[in-house]
Parts: sequence; C-alpha cells; structure tokens
Amino acid sequence: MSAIGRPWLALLLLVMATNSGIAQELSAVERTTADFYGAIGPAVAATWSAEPRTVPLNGELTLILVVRNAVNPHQLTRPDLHLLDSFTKSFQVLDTPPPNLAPADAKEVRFTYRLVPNARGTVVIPALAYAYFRPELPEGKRFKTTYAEAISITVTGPTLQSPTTPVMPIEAPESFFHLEEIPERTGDWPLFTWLVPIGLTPLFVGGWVIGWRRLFPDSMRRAKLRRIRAVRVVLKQLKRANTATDPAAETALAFRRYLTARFSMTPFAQTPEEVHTALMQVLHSNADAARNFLWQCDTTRYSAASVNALSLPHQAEVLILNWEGVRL
Amino acid sequence: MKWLRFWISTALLVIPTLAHGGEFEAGLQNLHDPTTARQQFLQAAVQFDQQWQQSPSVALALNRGRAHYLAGDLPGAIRAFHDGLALAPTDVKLQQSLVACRMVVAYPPGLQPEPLTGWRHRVSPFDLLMASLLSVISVTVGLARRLTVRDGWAIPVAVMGLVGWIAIGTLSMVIHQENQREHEQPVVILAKETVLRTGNGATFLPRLDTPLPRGAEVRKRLERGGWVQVELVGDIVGWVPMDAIR
Repeated sequence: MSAIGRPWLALLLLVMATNSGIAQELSAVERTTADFYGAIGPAVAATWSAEPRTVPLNGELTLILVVRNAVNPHQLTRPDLHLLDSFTKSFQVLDTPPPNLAPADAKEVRFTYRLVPNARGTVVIPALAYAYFRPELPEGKRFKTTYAEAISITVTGPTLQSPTTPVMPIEAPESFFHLEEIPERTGDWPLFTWLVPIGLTPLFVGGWVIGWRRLFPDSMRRAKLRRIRAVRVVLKQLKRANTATDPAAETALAFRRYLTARFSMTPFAQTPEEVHTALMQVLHSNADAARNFLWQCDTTRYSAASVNALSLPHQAEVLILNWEGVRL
Repeated sequence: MKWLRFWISTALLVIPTLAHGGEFEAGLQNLHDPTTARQQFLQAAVQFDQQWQQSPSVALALNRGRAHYLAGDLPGAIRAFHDGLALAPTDVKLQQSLVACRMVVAYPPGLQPEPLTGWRHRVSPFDLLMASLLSVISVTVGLARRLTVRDGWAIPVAVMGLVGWIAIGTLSMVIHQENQREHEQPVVILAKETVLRTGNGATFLPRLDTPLPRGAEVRKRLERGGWVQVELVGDIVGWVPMDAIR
C-alpha cells in the first residue's frame, strides 16, 4: 500500500521532510546516487510534456518535465539534458534561464527545456530515469526509480524562416543590395608561388652569359683578361694616363710594370734596350715591338716636335690586347 | 571556334554566380514588404550555401553573405564573409563587408574582434610574386653583368635583389604563420546571444558579466562533450555550447 493511500503517512513524510530537513541529512554518497535530483516522497512521479508535437527541422520545441508528489518541491534540482547522450544525439539542447524555486507546498514542479531536433521524421524524446528517496523504507532500499515515459514527435522539413523576422525595414550598406555578376577569381594563388621565378634565376643568368659569349666572343676574351690582375691593372693605369700631366711617361711606366708582372721581366730593365734584352729571354716574339713602343714613348717625351702623346695609352692597350690574344 | 569556346567558358563562370540570383532579385523587388523580402533573401541564401559547397568563389561568398544579411541572418553573413576571406584574404570587398557586419554586432566594450590588419589581409601571393619577379630581374641583371662585362654597379644591383628575396621570404613566413593560426584556431560565429562560461557545462559560472552578442566572432580552440572552448581578444578563454556556434 502506498503512502498516497494513507494520507496520514504522506502528511508524516511531508512534516519529516520539511521540519527535520531530510534532504539535508542525506549523506554525500546518497546525494550522488545516479538519476537522483533531490526528490523525496513515497510515490514521486515524472512525466514529459512536449509542445508542439510537430516541429520543423530548424524549429524549436518546448519540453517540460513535470515532477509530482515530491514532499520537498522547493529542493528539487533540474536534470541537465546537456549531460545525457540520449538527448544530445537527437537534439540541440538550448540554454534556458535557471528555474525559479518552487514553493514548499507546490503539488508539482515543472522544468522547462528548449530543444531543436537534429533530424527529420519521427523522433523520440527519450525516457528519463528519475530516482527519488523514500525515508520510511529500510536502509539500502530507500532509493526508487520512476521514469518519464518517452514520447514521439514529428519533425518536418525546415521552414525558411529567418532567425530574426521583425517587421522592420531592411537596412544594409548600399553594396549589399547588388549581386556580384562579374566572374571573379576563385581565390588567391598559393602563398609560395613567388619561389618559382627564383628557382629559374640560374637559368636566366646562365642563358644571358651563354648568349653574350656567342654574340661577343672577343668581349668574352676581354672580360677574361680583366680577371688577370696584371692586365686589369695596366688597363686602369693606361686610362689614367690619358689625363696625366705627362701621358707618355705614365704610359711607359704602366707598360713596363705590365711586362714585369705578366712576363716576369726584371724590374731593373728601364730603357728600351734593357727591356728588349730582358724580354728576349722570356718573350722572344714580342721583344722588338715592346722596344719600339718604349722608344716611341721616349721620343714623344723628349722631342721638341709636337707629337700627340694622348695616342700612346691607346697604342699600348692595343699592343697588350694583341699579345693577350684579343682580335681588335 | 575560338569565340564559341570563350563564351562557353565565360558562361560557366557566370552561371554558378547568378544561378540563385532570381530569389535575390525578387527580394530586392519586395523591399517594401520586409517579411516577404526576407523570406526570399533567405531562400537565396540557402541556395547560395548549397552552391558554396560545390564551387566556392569570391563572388559567391559576397552574394552569400549579402543574402544572409538581408535575410536578417547576421551570423550567417559573417560566416559567409569569413569563408570568402579564407579563399582570398586580401579581397577588399569581402573585408569591407565583414567590417560592415561587425559594426552591427553589439560587442561588450573591449571585446571587439581583431581588425583585419594582419599581413595576410594586406599582401596577396600575387603581390609577392610581382616583388619576386622584380628581385629576380635585379639579381639576373646584376649577376649576368658581373659575369660578362663586369660593370661596377653589377654587384650592388644583384645584392639589392637578394635583399628583396630575403624580405619576401620573411614576409611569406609571417603570412604562413598567420594562415596556420587561422587553420588551427578558426573563427566561429555565435548564432545567438550566449553566456561564456568558465567550464564545459551550463552549471559553470559565467566568464564575463554580460553574455556575448549574436554574431560575435570567437576563435575555436577545442571541443569537449558538446561544448567548445573559445578564445576572445585579450586571451579571454571560455566555453560555449556547440549548438551556439556556426
């Protein structure tokens, strides 16, 4: 026989729960009993109520858990559906404000939820196990479980309703009222595309050099000569000789330095004859030309006649380049 | 034959963009009746969304975002513009549209999202390619002249090009890191006003005094049990329900 059939027992339990604070006297272990949300009573009942029963896919339904016959309605906690996989698999559980405390003499307590179904068709709101405490029973048998029975709802296709549909004029930046009609790029290029031309740089440089060599074979030879220090130095000195106060002397000096550096001629050979003698030992074929050129320099320096000394650096350059194998 | 090929390829590019323009145009015609217009813009938005799954493009992102916005779906519009910016971060129209949407979101003070000032939004791969080509010309001319006629200016010119390469490489790495961050912590949009909580459950305390507004942009860090850990500006970290984001 239940306590409902015995009003005096229900009254007694109510008095016990409210006056002696049974809920507070539950041990920590008892409070953590699975599916226990604080309800005390001889015949606690839980039921689901859903509204509406037919809802679009992107629509929202209100689910209410009704708990009856608890002697401590003001102490009940709301089951958190976010924590129940059976609910989160089928529904999005939306946030709702925390419920107000029920009065201590309430006959039933209602917990409200907002759910959005995840799939179309017939969807079942799962049963909820709801444990409650019966203090009048022997220890170890005081927790009983009731169930809020599962109910089915129908989920239809989505409705094309805006999340916000206030009847207000549509305001937006001017550009939002136009469609993009011009075909545009689908997106940016890969970030590291810039490496491609860098990878090709050796080819560009190589192509340039090879082409240049083919087009200007003597220029290549001349460029090679510039890599020989003695030639590079003498060509620079000859250039400077053009602007010197005594071009013939500067040219002869540069020429002799070149012969010393390039053909290991003794640096003590100064006069045309000494140079000729020294060169005969190392550069037999050009010794005469060198002597003649130095004579020409001396003649220009010491002659009273007006001779164009500025042509000497150029002559020296031609002579040297000929010796180095450049066809001019 | 050549002309026929040109028109076919142009049509193939244009048609997907305009395919769902009918509803959009209808919405524009009905601006005097906002309820009807919004329905039509929403239809266009849904169809643009489907189109986006098949062939995303910058133009489609703009149309998609505009349709969502005009339908009253601000989070959807912000999502669309972000998706477009993932394709083309330097696109000015997308950037301007996103900024316009952001101005409508009622952010709490100090919680406005980062402005679009990162290098990825300012320098495009095309810009880098052009800079790289200039540097390549500089290096090529410098080296080639040095190896042939040995001009005095050859080496400085080549060095200038090399410095350009280093600058481009450094910038690319910075942009790459910004892209990585976008990939690892993507921006998600709050579909509704949501309380940012200190833990992954409705029982945890709110992290901020005020809820985050609908349309707020946050960075997603991780998911756990139907909740998402998100990060706001100023390294504020909290949790929001999975169903609150899009």
